[in-house]
Amino acid sequence: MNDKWRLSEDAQLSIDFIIGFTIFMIAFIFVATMMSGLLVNLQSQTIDYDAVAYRTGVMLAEDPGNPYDLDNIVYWNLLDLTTHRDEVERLGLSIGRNSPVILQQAKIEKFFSWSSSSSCESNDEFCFPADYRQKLIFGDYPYNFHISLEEIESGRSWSLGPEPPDNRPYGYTRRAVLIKKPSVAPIDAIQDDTGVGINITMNIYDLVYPPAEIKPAHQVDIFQEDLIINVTGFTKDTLLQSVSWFPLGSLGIPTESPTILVNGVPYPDYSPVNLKNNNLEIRIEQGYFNREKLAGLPAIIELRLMFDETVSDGNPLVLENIANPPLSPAVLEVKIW
Amino acid sequence: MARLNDSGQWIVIMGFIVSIAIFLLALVVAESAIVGKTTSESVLEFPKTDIQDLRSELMDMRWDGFKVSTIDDYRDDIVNLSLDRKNTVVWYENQTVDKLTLYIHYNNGITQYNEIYSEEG
Amino acid sequence: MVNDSGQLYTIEGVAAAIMMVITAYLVISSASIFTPQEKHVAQMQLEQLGHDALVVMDTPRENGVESNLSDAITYWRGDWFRDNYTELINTKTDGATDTLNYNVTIYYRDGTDIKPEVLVPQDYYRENAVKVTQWVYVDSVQFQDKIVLVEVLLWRD
Repeated sequence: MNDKWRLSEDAQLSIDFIIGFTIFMIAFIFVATMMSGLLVNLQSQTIDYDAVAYRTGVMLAEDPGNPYDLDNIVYWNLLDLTTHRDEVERLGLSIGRNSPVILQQAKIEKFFSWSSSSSCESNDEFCFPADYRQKLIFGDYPYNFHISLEEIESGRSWSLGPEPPDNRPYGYTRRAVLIKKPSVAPIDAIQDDTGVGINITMNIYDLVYPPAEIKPAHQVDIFQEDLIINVTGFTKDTLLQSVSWFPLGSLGIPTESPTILVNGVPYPDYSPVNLKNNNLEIRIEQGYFNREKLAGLPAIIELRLMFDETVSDGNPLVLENIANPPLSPAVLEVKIW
Repeated sequence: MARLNDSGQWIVIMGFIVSIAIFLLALVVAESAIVGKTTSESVLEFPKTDIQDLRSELMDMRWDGFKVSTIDDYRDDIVNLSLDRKNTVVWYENQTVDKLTLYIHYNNGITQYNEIYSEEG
Repeated sequence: MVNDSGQLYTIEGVAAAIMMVITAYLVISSASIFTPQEKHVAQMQLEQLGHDALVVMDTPRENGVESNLSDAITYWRGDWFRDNYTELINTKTDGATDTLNYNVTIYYRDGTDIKPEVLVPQDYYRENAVKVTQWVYVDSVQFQDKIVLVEVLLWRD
């Protein structure tokens, strides 16, 4: 019994033991080196990147996002991020669940307004990258991402995040999409002696419940999109006097007037700008109308523009008959690493 | 001589333990290999685009002048082409009573999809 | 002087070493390599993009106008289809172009038969390809008042 443990007493290890142990250790080191290649794959995320990129692509192109409530007019792109940041749960750019691959320009603009500075929380913009990781990419692992969108015909592009470093494998997905742009109603002002101002007629019922024959991709959506009325062709010195809704005092019409721009510059109330050869734009912004309040309005309301000179429009504009600008093809790319 | 000299068996036992540990790890690794494969394979397997296309075409026929009443004429086209080219059984019926109702059935052998679409006329 | 006493530990060591090496070899040789699912991912991406482009072509750009796909089939213009579709699938956001290629066949029902008509011919040499489809309603001289199936076979050159 004591023979076994007598090795250490003599300070002599038998050669037999040393050789056996050495062979064992060499083999062990060899096997451990071989195994390290096998174990690395357990840690690697390369399998996931393409799946995450695919899921992100689907969410951007086919999901209208959350919140998206048609009845209560809650859309995530209308929320003010300074106060309602937590209510935005999913970022999706599509115009609706049944219209995949057709994106809303307003959602695109909101999605790509971001900053990486620490003051982003107090502004109406998304914080890069935390908000996108929480609301778009999901998952515990902090993925890096680069999302870009380019309109094919005009070349206009939006981009989010850094490009992946060279020689780094990344998950990739590419979608071909259409962008639905806000409607623009052009009015050619006629300055003769018979004009009494420009009246723009809106049939509320047709705007809130568009005819079913028109596909959602072509409908005018006064809640989610800007509605732009462009008045051009002023040949005389003209000043805009008032923009008002008629009938006055109707419940539900917001008291503040729509945004007024001249040549892209906001129109100041106190120093009216001469409209000669200029472009007057009335922009009824997304979120201006509220569906519930609209339900109580008379069927036809008018937006009346009064000028100090005689102005009229050639053909009185009925707002629900205007067409959207054509849907514009674009390419969306998502890279995850 | 009566007892075998079992000194040194601890070396073999250690070797044995290491082998078992390698084997167990291999089981875990094999699991993760399958997980990665399933993600894209299951995406390919699920007929998302087929169902979206079918619904979109049926909704189009509804939007374009409400051709619901003549929908049976085109049904033969869709049913036969689906069966022949995509190995899929498709059926739809106009079940309009007082409001517009459409029953859609889709089965490609792996995924089955049934829908009753109705809306206020 | 030389006898076999003292070979105990050596034998044990050698046996342990052999056992570990064989196990490790067996495990590694049977462990699956991760390259196969790369092929599936590429197919998934290709199928999604190809189908997107068909949907984009099948959506009328304005209300009351026919879609580009419907026009291409009604007037049987493979070159219209080719220009439109190639731009949609090969454009990348950084300005580069991809190298995807395809051929297009229209399947329609004639009585009880299903017949093909090739719209965009292209030689296919057994690359990894996916097939994407779209339903289109056509009323032309060639297909009177029918719903046809557009099949695009799409691969990477």
